Amino acid sequence: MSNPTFERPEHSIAMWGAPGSGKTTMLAALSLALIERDGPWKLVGADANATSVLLEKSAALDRQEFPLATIDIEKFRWLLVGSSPQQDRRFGGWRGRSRDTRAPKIGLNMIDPPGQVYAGGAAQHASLLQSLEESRGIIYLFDPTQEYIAGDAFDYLHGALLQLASQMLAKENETSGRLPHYLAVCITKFDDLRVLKTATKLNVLTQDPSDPHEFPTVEDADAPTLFRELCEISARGSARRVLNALERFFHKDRLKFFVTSSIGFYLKPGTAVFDPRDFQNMVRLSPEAGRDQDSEKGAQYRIRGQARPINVCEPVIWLAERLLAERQEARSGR
Amino acid sequence: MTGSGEDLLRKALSESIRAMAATGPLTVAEVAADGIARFQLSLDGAGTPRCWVQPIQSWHELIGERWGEPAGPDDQEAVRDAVLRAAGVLTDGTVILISSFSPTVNTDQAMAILRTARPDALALTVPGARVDELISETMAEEPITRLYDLVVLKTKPDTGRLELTGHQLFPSGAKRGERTPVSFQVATTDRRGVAFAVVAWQGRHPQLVSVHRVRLPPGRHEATAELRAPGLVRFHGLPGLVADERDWADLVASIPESLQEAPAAVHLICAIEICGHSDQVRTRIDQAGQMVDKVAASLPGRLKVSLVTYAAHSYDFQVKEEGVLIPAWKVAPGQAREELVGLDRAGPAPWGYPDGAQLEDMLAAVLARLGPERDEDTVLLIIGGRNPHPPAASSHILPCPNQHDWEQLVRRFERRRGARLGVIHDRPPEQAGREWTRLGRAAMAHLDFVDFPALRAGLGLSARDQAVNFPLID
Ligand SMILES: Nc1nc2c(ncn2[C@@H]2O[C@H](COP(=O)(O)OP(=O)(O)O)[C@@H](O)[C@H]2O)c(=O)[nH]1
Ligand SMILES: [Mg+2]
Repeated sequence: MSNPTFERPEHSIAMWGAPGSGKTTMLAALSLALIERDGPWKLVGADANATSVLLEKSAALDRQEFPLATIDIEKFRWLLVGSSPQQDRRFGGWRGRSRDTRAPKIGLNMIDPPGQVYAGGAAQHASLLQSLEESRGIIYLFDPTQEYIAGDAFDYLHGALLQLASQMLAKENETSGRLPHYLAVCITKFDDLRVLKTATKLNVLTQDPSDPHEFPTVEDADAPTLFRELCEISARGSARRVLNALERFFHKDRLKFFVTSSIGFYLKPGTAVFDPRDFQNMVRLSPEAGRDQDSEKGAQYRIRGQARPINVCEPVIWLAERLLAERQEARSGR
Repeated sequence: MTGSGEDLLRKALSESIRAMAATGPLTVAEVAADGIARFQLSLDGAGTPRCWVQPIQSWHELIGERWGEPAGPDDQEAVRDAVLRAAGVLTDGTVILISSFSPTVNTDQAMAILRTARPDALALTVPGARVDELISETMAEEPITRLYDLVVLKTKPDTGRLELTGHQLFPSGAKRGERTPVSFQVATTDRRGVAFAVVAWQGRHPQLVSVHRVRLPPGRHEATAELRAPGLVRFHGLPGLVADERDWADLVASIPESLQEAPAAVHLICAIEICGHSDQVRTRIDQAGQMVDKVAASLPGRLKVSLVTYAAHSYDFQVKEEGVLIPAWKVAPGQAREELVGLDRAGPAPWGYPDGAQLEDMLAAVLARLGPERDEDTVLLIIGGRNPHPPAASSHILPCPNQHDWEQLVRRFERRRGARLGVIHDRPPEQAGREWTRLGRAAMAHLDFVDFPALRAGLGLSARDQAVNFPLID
């Protein structure tokens, strides 16, 4: 890459979710999916270390392995890079009019609370809040499969939100009574049988007619319905309060739900179309296989077929475009 | 002469023994050189003459030195009493008096006393006669006076119930040395074996003559009964026959209501999951072997064994899947045993996908190989631990790549005539889970503690556990 250093972007997006909710996998999926997708956005590292982390994660996914966790992943920073607005070339002489023709860049970082937010050390907690505050875009990963077992999403979210809100809302220039952030709530692991079943039950499954694989999807408009239902069946039952909390703290038009999967559905080799009888894309590995691996905890699962990420670009792009637009508005309004 | 005297005695004994049924007990008093012996004969409940022997009481015991000396009247009275008591002639019934020695003072005196006491008694002097031998020989030579039957079981054709009945060995009047061949079946018995009980019939009432027992394998057997003496039947061809100490009432009570139909031919299919820990796989193979041994022992010559192995599905397209294998199909138990040794030596298959195994593929393979129904029992014993795969995505266990539906296959198998399904599972039944509980509905055992009798009972292979402790005659 010819341009190794970037200036610090004005805005950034934070990926936030409980450990195991799928952040690392989504980062890898995102970098692969953005490349395959038509459009300007690409994901790069803000420095050489971040780049190598990104390459390592996406290479793992390409090998049908789940990327392993990286310690201190919060320290790394990636950039979503768009393309410079071509049409503005015509107004090249008017640069003085503060029309920005540089490629847009939005920072992306990850917040990986090590345990419950309440339980985290004071310093860690402070840095988490700081990066949330700095990030005008938040991707919140809600892992329904974890909710079936632990039902602890609320713990992660609520404590941090409360603190963030009180810090921000206390500021004098805040008048709306809501956080200024854009929030993309991503229901992860849509490929999981239980999640798909819940969506089937709610009758929110559709199919994109242009999709040659005929994969089932949930339209963004139906995502909150699915989210609410998944909260209802959460093990602790308290997760439904997540939804209330989100609606309380964020502007309605800055809150959007996405149904995502980093690995997508399995397609049997030689077949082109989704098979509702056999679509699970995760394979548990034998304990023997785990032993061969030189990884610490050893991979418990691998991806059965090719990873076919679902809806991983959309939340990021939605946020990026919103933040860009906001920046634009702010500049022109000045 | 001695010879004719002995003949006379023999004849007299024989007649008197035969007459006992009418006349009651027979007392034979022997006045011998050294004292008096007594033989008390009577008929037992089965009409068999029995003899009780009072050993010789010496003259010294009886009369001291008195007969050599001049004696007073008191002494004479005492001697008379002692002699009569020893000879036991003051009873009802027939008495025979025998002087078996050249006359002496003592024998003459004693004979005189006895004759006076029982003037009706036959009195013989047969010097040198071996009275005890003569009596036992005569008794043995006697024809039997009642019909002798062997106690056997028959299945009543209309109801199928087992019925205790007699199979004639010797007619009334049969004599020592007569032989009757008997052909009979043996089913499964208890540990002490088949009871060979001989009864004598008096009218409609059987009386036990003797009961012996011997362990015999199930199947058809031949023996020959020989009448050795009244009340003594010896069976030839049954080595190891000993007196049966079992209580007769218990023996009779142990007879099952009906004979469990031992299948004509049994096909035992052991389907073994060969992936997993090597110890566990080895135990599975070992238990399969034990099952083969046990079933083979109870169905000699009627068992055919098949061995089927299965392992894990591969969900990694780079790893080729080893399918279901059939190392042996309908072979003799011995050959199956050898194949099992080979399987054990081969060691476990790769661990593979840990949440399931090709159980459903195995069912499909077994059904395909079985083909159309036959007139035989087919017992499928699945030995494993992992769940079958569902036919379509329905749980965390990935679906069977071949879309086999294990529940449907199980139903298809169970619908076959004479088909039985059982399992030996790695975990105890309460931890086996829904799938294995279904598979083991008829019979389920835990790998570490296989209760073979219970397992065989559930699989309809338990004829051996039914104790039929009498010979069967059809
Ligand atoms: N079914 C499914 N499982 C996933 C997906 N992404 C991640 N996982 C599982 O969730 C685990 C944790 O994911 P990871 O990305 O490490 O979560 P993080 O701790 O939030 O970074 C992985 O090891 C996978 O087992 C997905 O898209 N679908
Ligand atoms: Mg991680």
